Amino acid sequence: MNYVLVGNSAAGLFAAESIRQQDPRAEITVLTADAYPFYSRCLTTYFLAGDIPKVQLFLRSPEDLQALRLRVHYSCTVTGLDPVQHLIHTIAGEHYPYDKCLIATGASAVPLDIPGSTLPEVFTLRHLDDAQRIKAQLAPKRQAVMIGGGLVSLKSAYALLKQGLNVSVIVSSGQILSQMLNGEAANLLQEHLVSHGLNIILHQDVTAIEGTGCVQGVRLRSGRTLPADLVIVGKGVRPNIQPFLASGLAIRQGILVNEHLETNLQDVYAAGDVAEAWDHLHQTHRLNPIWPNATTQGRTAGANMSGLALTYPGSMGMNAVDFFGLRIISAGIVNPPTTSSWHVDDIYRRDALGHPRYQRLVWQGEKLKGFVLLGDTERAGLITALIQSGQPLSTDVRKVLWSGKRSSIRLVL
Amino acid sequence: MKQLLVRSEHCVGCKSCELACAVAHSESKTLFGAVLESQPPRKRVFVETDGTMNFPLQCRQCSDKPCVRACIAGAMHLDPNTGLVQVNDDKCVGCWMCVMVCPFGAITEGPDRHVVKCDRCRELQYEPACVSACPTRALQWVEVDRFAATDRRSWVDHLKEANTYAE
Ligand SMILES: Cc1cc2nc3c(=O)[nH]c(=O)nc-3n(C[C@H](O)[C@H](O)[C@H](O)COP(=O)(O)OP(=O)(O)OC[C@H]3O[C@@H](n4cnc5c(N)ncnc54)[C@H](O)[C@@H]3O)c2cc1C
Repeated sequence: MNYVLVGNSAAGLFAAESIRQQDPRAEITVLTADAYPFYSRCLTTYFLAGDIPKVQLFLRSPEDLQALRLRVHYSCTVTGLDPVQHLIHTIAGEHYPYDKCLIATGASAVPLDIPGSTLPEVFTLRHLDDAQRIKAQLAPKRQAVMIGGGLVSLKSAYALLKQGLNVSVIVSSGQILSQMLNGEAANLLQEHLVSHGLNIILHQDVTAIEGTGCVQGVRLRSGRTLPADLVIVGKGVRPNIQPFLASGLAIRQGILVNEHLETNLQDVYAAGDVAEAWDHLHQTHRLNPIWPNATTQGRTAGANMSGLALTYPGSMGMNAVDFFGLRIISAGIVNPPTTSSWHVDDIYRRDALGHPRYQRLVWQGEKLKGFVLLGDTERAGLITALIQSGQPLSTDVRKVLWSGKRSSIRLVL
Repeated sequence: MKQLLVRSEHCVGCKSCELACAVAHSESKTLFGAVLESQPPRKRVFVETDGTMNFPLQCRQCSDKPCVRACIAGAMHLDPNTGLVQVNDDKCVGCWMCVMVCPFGAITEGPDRHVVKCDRCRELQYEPACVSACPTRALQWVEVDRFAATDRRSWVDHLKEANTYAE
């Protein structure tokens, strides 16, 4: 069997590993636009912060990769898919035939389209190359501006602060991490980040990046100008669907996949940030561009391509962050609809050292649909599993959760 | 292959396993030495008790390994030699993604804000110290042919019984 995987990141590699496990004789071809072996883009901010060396981004050793016996074509940009001929086309004019194909092209950073955004020190952070170019700009006391208040933006801000830069984050909405946190938790994190020197400006937009030849400042909608030596744009990501728009694939924001990670085209699967899979909390197909979803989908798709019939249980949004010792984990729906079947249990206190401890549980009737833990995140996975179980929970379980004694849950289940 | 067999109905909540676990993961591997070490050793088994019920809990080596899939750093991995999920401490960046998805809550904080979990006493040639320390044989280290029946039972059942392999 001849497998062609487009993309060599979380979804692509986990698919390759699972195909190899099922089918030792498989011919596995991987086409990737990257010039590097499989690496974790999630770690690029740790690299920027100086917490890890570059080599640690590469999650698999050369021996591990060799054992997989993949034919990887680097710097190979795919431009199209022909479902009738079962062919993948590349920018260099090559055509790769497939028996089964996986599209795992991930997502790209949304670029900023304002005056000055092509100046050389304006970056997005998605690829290792981006990280290396940004790293070359880092020196203590330089002025950095992050545009956007999402995860990549804040992780970048954290890295740059650790490198001694002066960092400002400009956020359009009224809170940071609006995908991951409710307002109260976001305020607690903001207070913490500000106490570590981050300048956060809410309800503000950047209208232009100023400078001749190099970045000198950013102009805000208010008319004010902030001095800047470099700018990182973190305005979210969008799926890399462009090569497949004329292929007949069913695409909304991402490529639609069913519970087996199959697309509407025979023998074509999709997984990871490019795929729009079932979201079991929102009860609809939805983009959920996070690493665990990409690896799980990749693994499931790979197994199914090589003959198993695994069912993907559905995605949910979740993330874990640690900024200057403050840990936060959230999962599922953190801002519930205002209808009467939904309610939240929030607990907030300060520990003996004055550090915030915050817990939000989001309920729909007796079912847990989401949580935010800030400060004390131990055993968060127990709550994640309670959400994933989809079962109504007894008052005893709810009491234990409410008391924050998560480890006792198993005594009352 | 040997597996940890947990018979929670035999557990009396004495926490001997917790102590033995901490000592087994100390530098000196002795109780006396362990208490004097600059980094206090961390236990990886936790006994929960409410007076009537007792549960020893540690990594259950889930068959679908959510921690491995959540790890953004390649630290949580399947050891091909033993088939066990292990943490590579050199790679862990302390992101807590595995803590977010571990359905047993069995991954906890170790030194340097990295994670630790039960490693089946890798450094003791896979002779788990908790098993030797358990006075009631609630913890046993037994040869099993297959991960029998584990997949048929829900996570809630697992948690209730805190008992992965026994029937
Ligand atoms: C800085 C940063 C921090 C992050 N932190 C976290 C985190 O803490 N937790 C978390 O869960 N997630 C995090 N993420 C998100 C996570 O990295 C993604 O969800 C994950 O990488 C998605 O994997 P993927 O395989 O779907 O796609 P991608 O990682 O986007 O990889 C896509 C692959 O497809 C290839 N490709 C794309 N287009 C083409 C083409 N036309 N032809 C050939 N090849 C192509 C690329 O070269 C690449 O190999 C972070 C992302 C960034 C950028």
